[in-house]
Amino acid sequence: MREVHMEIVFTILLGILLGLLAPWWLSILHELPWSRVSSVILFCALPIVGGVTYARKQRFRGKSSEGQVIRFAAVYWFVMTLLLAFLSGVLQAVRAPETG
Amino acid sequence: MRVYNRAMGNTSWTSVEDYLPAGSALGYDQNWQFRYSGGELLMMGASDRASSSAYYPHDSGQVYIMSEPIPCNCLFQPQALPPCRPDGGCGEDCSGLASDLPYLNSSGTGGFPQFGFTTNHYVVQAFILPPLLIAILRGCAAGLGADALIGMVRWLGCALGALVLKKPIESSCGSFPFPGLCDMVASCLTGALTGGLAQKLFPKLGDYIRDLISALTGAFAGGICEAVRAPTPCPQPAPNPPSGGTLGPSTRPFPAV
Repeated sequence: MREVHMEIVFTILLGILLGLLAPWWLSILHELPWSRVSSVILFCALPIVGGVTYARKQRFRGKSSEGQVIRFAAVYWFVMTLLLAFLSGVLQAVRAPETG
Repeated sequence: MRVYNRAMGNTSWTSVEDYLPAGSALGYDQNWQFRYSGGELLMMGASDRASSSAYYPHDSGQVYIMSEPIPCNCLFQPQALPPCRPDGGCGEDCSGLASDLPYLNSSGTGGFPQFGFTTNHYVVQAFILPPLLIAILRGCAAGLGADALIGMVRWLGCALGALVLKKPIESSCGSFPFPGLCDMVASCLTGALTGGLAQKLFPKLGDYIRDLISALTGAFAGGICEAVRAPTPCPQPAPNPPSGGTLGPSTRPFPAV
């Protein structure tokens, strides 16, 4: 149980860090209302809720819940970052002037 | 391993033999010396083998790395220790033996347990340094790769958007992104550090998840480099105020005093 708590703390800290840093270079996040707060919710709150739910589900299935929060969060972060990077690229093209 | 069982009247006689690859064996009377890849095993006297056998481990360069031999009891049954050592130090246990042995601690686990690298092999191998280097290099590579991948995905999104909107790709998105020196150093260092930290905190975490975390933090560090490198937009010149306005410097001559 202590291990799971440590995982949650690690995920929260890393999620806050990623959420604060993301708007620097993923420009699509500026389009969200309260971009900093939204980024932190996107990178911290959602993976925590999802990870804990996933870990509980795994435990009910009789599997070990150890490492499941971080596993869920890591996959979520990676997919989310790729998606936001793609959308940032599209936004860059939309905002580019018509002629070079 | 060879197990031999033979019935003898109402009872049976069983022998279990295990074989180790031995480079050479030297025997004299009841004393035997076996040399193999991980060290040297001495068996002195057949009468009381448990207390008179000892193991001298050496490293991959054949250098002996312990000042005192390890009793075989400590090697083979670390949790159930006899109170005596071969040199007669009765009352001591095996816990004190591991002080100068980095790869074999008192619980019988080898490696660097404090960094999450463990092994159940008691034999000295050249495993001490490579896992550390491999973990660092792996984290570094993951960070570098993810930084390049995310830059590429963003450029592809931009190129795709530009194509759909019929805008020139080169002027809209720039040239294909290759990581610069700042990106490479930042993503490599951050990936390696985060991988090491995750390894230390959660040793049971799978390699791929650890790589994914290294990759993410590496990509974010590279992204910060990119953000820092991006040109700061020039401040727009303020529009000229309408004539007779109250803002801005006046161009009319001062009234004569």
